[in-house]
Amino acid sequence: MPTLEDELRTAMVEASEDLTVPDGLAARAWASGHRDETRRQPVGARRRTNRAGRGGPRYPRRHLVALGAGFAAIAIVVTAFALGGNSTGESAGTAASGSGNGGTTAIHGQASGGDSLTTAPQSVRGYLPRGARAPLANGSKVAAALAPGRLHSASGTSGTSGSATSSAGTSGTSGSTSGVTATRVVKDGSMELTVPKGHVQATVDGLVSLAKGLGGYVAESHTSNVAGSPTGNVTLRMPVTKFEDAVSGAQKTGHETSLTTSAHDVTGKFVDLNARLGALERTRQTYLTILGRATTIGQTLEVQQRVEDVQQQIEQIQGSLKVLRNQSADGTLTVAVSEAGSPAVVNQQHQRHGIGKAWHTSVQRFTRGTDAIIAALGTLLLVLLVIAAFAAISLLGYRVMRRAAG
Amino acid sequence: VELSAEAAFESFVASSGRSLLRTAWLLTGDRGDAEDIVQTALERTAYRWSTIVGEPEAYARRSVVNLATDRWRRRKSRVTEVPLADLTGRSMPYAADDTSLVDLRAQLLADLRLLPARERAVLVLRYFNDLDEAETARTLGVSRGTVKSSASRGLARLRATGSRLERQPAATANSEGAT
Repeated sequence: MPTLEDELRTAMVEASEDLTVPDGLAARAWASGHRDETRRQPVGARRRTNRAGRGGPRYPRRHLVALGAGFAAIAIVVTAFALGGNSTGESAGTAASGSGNGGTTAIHGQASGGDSLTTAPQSVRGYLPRGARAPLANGSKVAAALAPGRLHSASGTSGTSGSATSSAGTSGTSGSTSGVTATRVVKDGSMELTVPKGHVQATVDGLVSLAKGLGGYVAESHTSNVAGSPTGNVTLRMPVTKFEDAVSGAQKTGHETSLTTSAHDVTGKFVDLNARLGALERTRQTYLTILGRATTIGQTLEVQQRVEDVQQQIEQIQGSLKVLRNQSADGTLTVAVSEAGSPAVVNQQHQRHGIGKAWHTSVQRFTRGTDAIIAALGTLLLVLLVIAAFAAISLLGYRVMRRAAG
Repeated sequence: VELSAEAAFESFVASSGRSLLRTAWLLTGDRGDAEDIVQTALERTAYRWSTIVGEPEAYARRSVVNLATDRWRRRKSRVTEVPLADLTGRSMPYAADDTSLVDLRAQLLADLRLLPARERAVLVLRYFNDLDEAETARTLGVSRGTVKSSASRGLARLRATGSRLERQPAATANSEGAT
């Protein structure tokens, strides 16, 4: 009983029995094999021939394509690795500075006095970050800078983050504000800085030293480390004449991403308040004179009430003058410091609450998630490129070796 | 020296050319392709004639198998060519015959062409060229285990052909009895 192998062998032998070699096959093959020596030279030899300028490229097109793709992939990978070392540190800074350069330039100056006011508006450089870093209003900044609770006490901790808070006492206002007719300008500003990783605390210390060096002091200092992104907020106060020096000095401590400064001439308001104060004091003196001449209880009570009202107005004006004197004596610069690449620092004064905060948080997380996905895809693409390069080179080598082997 | 080499090559072609051509035909199933493949394989052999170590027929056979595999790969992405002889029913030496054995052989050859390239090459080298497993493995550039598994799978598929042919007469007889 013949097996399948026997039947297959018989079938193949019988089926190909009538095949004969064409006449002259050997001569044609020999002639073709030796007709063009360069055509069948080894790859290296062909390359040398081409470099010498004898003849054009003789490589099969697919081999050239595979070789080119392999080299291109390797070049891309090398370039990606070369750029990858700097991308992390620079991306955030580039994005921030890009926004800053592309932002609008506005001029803020507020006249708060009468006819004698000579407003000296200061330019507001940079952009206002999303999150309402608006020009600092007089009232809010005055309250922030001069409220006793903020000047003399710690500003509290930030809950689970384990923040470190320090405060500095006021060193008192300078004594250069006694003259009523001297020009008085309130200068304040805010700045955002990004610094390299691990330099937040050092930068904050540098800012403190800067303020002290200019004869100023630190009104508030706050550092925190939330989710591995250390940030710091420092409120510096310095003599108003040193405000520009403080700004330029702070700019040197890190990469400035935004800067907002404002200057308000309060000379007119100061003069008005002094004039009102003098008038009220004269009125009080008049009432006191009348009070001394009162003969009945009714007259005495009525005049005394007038004196108390005037006294109250005098005290209010004296308080306002004290605030203005303080403001115009010392400039205020608030500096927010964050690490490059960390989420944007939100000034403590502009933190959101409620639904706004929740929406902002969700948008931030969405953005971070998108960034993470894109970053992961980039890595995947890199791996695929490497695999493709090796595959192309392997294919090329396999083809060449197989051709050499016959 | 060149003349003697050419003479030796012609002698080699005279002795092995037909076997190579039959191998190529069994691998491709097309005479024109087989002749092209043998021509190319012999050109390569001629070019490396002075540097070939061992049997030149083994080198030429390996070239034939590789070229047939390349052709098979290229053919997969091209429109299938149907030789005119196939349309006239004269491509196969076995025409319809009432002898089941002849039908079996014809069907075996037809199914051989439907096998994957490696299985087909293994069967041709093992049972037409009578190479052992080691020689077949060297020719194909694969391991002996691959040769064994490929031969086993190929034979199993061809065996299914035999089973179909064995069942066919009975079915035919039943249908004739019914009429």
